[in-house]
Amino acid sequence: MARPDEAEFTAFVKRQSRFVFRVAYSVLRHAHDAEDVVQEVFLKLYRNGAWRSMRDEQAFLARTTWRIAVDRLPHRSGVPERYAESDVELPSAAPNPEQSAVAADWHGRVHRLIDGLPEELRQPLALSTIEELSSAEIAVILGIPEGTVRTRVLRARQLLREKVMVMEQRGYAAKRS
Amino acid sequence: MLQNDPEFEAKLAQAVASYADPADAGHAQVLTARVLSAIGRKQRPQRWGLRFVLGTATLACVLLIVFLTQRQPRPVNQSARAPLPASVLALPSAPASAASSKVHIQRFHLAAVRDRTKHLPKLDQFPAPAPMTEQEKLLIQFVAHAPPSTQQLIAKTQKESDESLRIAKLTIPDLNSSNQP
Repeated sequence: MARPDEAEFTAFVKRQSRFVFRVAYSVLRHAHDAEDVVQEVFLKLYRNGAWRSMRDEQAFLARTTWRIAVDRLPHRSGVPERYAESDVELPSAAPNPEQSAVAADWHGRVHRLIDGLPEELRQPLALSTIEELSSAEIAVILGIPEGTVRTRVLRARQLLREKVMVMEQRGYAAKRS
Repeated sequence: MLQNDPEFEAKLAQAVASYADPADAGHAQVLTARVLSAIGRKQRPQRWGLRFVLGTATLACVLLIVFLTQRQPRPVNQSARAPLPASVLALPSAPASAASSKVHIQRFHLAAVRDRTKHLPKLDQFPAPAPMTEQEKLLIQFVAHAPPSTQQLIAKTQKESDESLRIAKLTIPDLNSSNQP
């Protein structure tokens, strides 16, 4: 790699690596896998030289990253294996030390509930949490109409809210008992 | 009710927003270093491969040139060759299978003669006399201890070679003669 190209590509990777990681992480929910995807995306762009001629960097990167990340999912539809229904059950009131530690992280529990959503709802919701991506861009990435994206995000949030409320009620009941 | 609680909604929105943004992983510097390292790893074998190919091609060219140079026949300087004894010249020729070793011996002999005569003063006698080599002496000893029949053959051959050539007188008949065949 020539010197000017090297500096330019390094700047490009520095600028976009975190964004690419977040897109990959939103799909895979595993830091190491997401890092692998980041590496694969940038290597691919470097090899074919596409990084020099991108009109909309983030849209292009998000689409490429999403495709590579989805290919790495155990199942392309439905809940991934490691987030099977047994894993995302609501925490019980039993005083298990491990469950108590998990229960301390409210965000973590909500994330696990999102993991438990159907993939067709989870992916639009996950991509919508990346503030750089608009619903139009998410629609292009997922290959569905923009209206469908909005509907699915709303539906996902509604379903999640219901699950969180159930979780909160169980937690409140456990505290009282 | 939680559903209408603004605090709950904000908390939920915050949790959802952090879904794809793990604080303890995916730092830009780490990711950049990893990507650049991977690119470096991918490039290195290609560079080494290119160097290897170029090096091999260059070496092959050099070897080919050397080989072709060695195979070119060298001009033999007959004048520098010392006269061999008649007994040596009269030896039976070597079998055809030993042709390559014969050529090798001849080259060796020529080189030895060249080295010997290199520093000698230029003489009027041509070719300049030179002392016998070890190989020539050994050959003479071998001939001396050869069986009588071989010695007789060698002597006969030497005698024939020492005798002056006799060429019969040419007679050219007249074209008009009736004796013409």
